[in-house]
Amino acid sequence: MLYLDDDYCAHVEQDAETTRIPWEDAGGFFAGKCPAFIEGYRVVPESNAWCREDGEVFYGLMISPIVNPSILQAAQADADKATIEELDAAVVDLAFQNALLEMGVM
Amino acid sequence: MSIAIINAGGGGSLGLSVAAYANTGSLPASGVAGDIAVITSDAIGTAYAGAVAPTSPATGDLWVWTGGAALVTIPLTDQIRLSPRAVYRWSGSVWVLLVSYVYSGSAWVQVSLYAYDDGVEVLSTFSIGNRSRTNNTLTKYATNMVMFREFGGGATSVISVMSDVALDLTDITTLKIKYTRTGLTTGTTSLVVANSRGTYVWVASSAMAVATEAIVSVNVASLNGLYYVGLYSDGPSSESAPGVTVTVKEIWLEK
Repeated sequence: MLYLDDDYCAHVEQDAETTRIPWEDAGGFFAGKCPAFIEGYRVVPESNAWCREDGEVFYGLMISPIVNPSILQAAQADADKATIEELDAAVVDLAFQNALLEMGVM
Repeated sequence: MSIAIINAGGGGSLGLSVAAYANTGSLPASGVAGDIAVITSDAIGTAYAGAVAPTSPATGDLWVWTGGAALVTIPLTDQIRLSPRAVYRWSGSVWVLLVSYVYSGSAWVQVSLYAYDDGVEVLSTFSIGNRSRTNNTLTKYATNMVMFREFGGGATSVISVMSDVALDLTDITTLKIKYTRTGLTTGTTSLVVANSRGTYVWVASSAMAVATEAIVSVNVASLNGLYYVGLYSDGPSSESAPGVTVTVKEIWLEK
């Protein structure tokens, strides 16, 4: 579940005043994406419209980046790297535990 | 950024040669390299070239928007070439995009922000980016192209039709498509922007509902550089015949 503010900017959490609109990412556009990536996007839900400052109107469902996508992709790459490092550490832990089990130590 | 003010047909060592024609059929058989032809029945005035619009134009003045990747260049000198991306005419209140051409090689080459225009593949040809089955097709006709996605039929059905070359979206604010969609209302059919043309990973998308001669837009103002554009459709395995048919009339960029 994502949360959209009054300018349809995406957030991963509801704000304290619960003013943001909950939005279900049914299509999986943001599946596996880190908060920094998600919060660089605007989501105009179906049946909604957003007016850009130059007057151009966009209708939902529209999903488009607010910042240069290369910045978002870099943030996602950093998040993926951190995840891989965590998983690698977990694999080492499991391998160590398995070894101890085989030795009858655990 | 400064503006090069170059009078149409002007003097000095630099000049833009611009002429107006009532329709494309009136273009002369040949020209001089760099000649600009605009299609309009309205009077034209002074032509300006630059990345920024003239601040105080007179009615009829032209603005050749330059910068980024262009289909053709205008040689001002052996060392200086302009990259025209679009030509606008000041109506008195707004800049109006004109159909325009530059003479290059031995032909008139359209200066255009249209990727696809009523059967003409302008900024890029289009082809299937990816699909889940061969019954999902792209067919090109004289005045449009048709993407067909078969119904789910027990398995998710997917197809994308993408530009064969990446388009320069630098200083472009909006990508638009004019289309007609018929058939199933299920699944997702969208105008899409992507880093690659063969995956189903989108940078931006905008839904294309069942409609006749509708226009859908996606905001690309934050995108700089080269991106593939196109359309995509998918459907769940539970769908039944007939499928989704999208007839594409135009795909274009707006500054």
